Amino acid sequence: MGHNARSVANTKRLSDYEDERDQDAFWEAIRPADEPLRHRWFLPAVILILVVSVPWYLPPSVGGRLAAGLPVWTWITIGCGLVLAVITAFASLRLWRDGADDDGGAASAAAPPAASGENP
Amino acid sequence: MNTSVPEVTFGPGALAVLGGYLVVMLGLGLLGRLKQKERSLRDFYLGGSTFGFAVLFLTLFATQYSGNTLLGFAGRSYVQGATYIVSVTFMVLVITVFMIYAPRLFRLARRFGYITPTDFVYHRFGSHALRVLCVVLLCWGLANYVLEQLVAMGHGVEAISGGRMSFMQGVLLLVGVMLIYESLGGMRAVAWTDAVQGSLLLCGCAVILYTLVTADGGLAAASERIRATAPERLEPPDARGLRTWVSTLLMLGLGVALYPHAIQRIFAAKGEKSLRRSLAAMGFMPLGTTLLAFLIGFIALSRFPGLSQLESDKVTIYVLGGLIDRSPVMYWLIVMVFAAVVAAIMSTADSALLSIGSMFTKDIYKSYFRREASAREMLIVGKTFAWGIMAILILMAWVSLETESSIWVLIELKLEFMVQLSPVFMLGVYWRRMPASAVLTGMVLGTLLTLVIWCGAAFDVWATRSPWGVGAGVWGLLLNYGICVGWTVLRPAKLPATVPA
Repeated sequence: MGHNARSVANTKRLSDYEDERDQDAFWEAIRPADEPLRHRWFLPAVILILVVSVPWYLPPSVGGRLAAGLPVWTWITIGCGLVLAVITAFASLRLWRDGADDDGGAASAAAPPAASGENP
Repeated sequence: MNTSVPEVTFGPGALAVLGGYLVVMLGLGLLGRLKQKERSLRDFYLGGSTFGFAVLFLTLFATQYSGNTLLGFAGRSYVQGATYIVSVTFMVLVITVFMIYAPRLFRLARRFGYITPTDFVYHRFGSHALRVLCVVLLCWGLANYVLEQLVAMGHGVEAISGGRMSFMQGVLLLVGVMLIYESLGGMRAVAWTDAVQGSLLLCGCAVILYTLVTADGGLAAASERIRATAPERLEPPDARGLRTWVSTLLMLGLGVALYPHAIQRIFAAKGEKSLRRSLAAMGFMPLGTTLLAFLIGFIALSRFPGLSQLESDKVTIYVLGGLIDRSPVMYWLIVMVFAAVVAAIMSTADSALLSIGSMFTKDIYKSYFRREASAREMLIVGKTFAWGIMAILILMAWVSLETESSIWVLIELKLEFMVQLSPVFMLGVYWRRMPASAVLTGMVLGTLLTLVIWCGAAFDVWATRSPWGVGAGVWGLLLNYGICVGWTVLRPAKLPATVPA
């Protein structure tokens, strides 16, 4: 597909395609300039926080011991929720860059075409 | 039922405040109609995609936090005890899951003008069967979601009016107001009312949180009372409880992120910056609202032990009712909180209803019945369909009252099926080689497995709908993901020759 044809495809709305879907235009449009999953630490960090948030590692002696009015172990989960919120906010504000203005015109020039068989 | 549960009785002044609030909502609906730029689906269902940070954040907030949170979650916390602290994690996880597919979905929505989540599904996979199945599952989830809100509405109005209005009268009153402002102003009216409702909700939650941790010895005294009556509710989970914990995390974390009305708010963002900032702020909200619902249930457990499953949905009302007579200031604060609860319920129900209307008209009516339908005709059909669905749901709210179903059961009923859409979005935006047949097969078999486990438990063929402590929907989801990944690895979709290897 030539450059001009691609530009035309990029300005089409879905309703213009009717039943003919242009998959090249779809996969070309999909990649933002940056996104959280492209940072290798993001997903492992999220999984680690979730694993720590589940109180599977506590000794039975912890029981119903209280701290500030709640069982001690619930504070670990609340703390993990806070850390997850911080990482999520960081990902949203710093790791996600669309690379296009609201008209979406600049993105395809900035971002390379989607690679085949991309894996999550 | 425990006899020490306090009655909540508001005077005529407070009822007038609530009445005034409903009138303001109607006014905003009218204003939304006057501000309509065109009679298009985009304008009606996405507010013309013009929402900046403040409106977008408040509409996301008011939509995400609802009757579920303030009544249903608190009720579940009452029933389950301290282990329901998992709710804080899964509500943050919802926003984290958005970080996985929202950046890509937002770009596509901008470029191709999506209005419904299933626009993406059809565009990506090109399968009519998959599109229809997605619409059915999403509408099923949303209809249940609206039903939860109706049940919460009934309880709320019954309590506020001190029994002068019945459960069903409350449902009819609030539904009437909601349908009018939504039909008048569409998404624009819904988002503006959400902004008012979201602000009320934020203030209301702050007031309750402060009151709960300072009144009657606060949390420490509550925990000591629970230790005396039900010490097991303070214990960390056992092995089965841990599996249920992980299952709940997966089901709620992945499922709530698929709410079509939340996805449509991604489409409705004015720009990427507004969306990124709104989602960043949303990640912290569970630490106020969900944690608060958890604490309300926890304190209710210490004060009113022994409530039935159905009564547990009213613990928020009982806890607040216990504070109402303390001072005139507290009385008015509680009035505001109740207005916030009603606001949260209405803002969620209206958004879900709008989303149902948009999917039916765009993905079913126009695609399969009337391809030449004009925007005006589709808007009329969408509104009529939404009103029809609402009539059925009002009937079901009555049934759920008669069968004593708690809000939490309705939440599970919704998410266990809706979560089966997860691979469509989570894998669909990354994995070009994943074919429609893999997704469709995974979704059909995952849904069937969930249905079989639910039905078996309902007809007493087996004892539980959570075998090994893991929810039916999560078993279905594991099968679903397994099929999607296995099929794609073994029989990947062929790529066009233009795509570089």
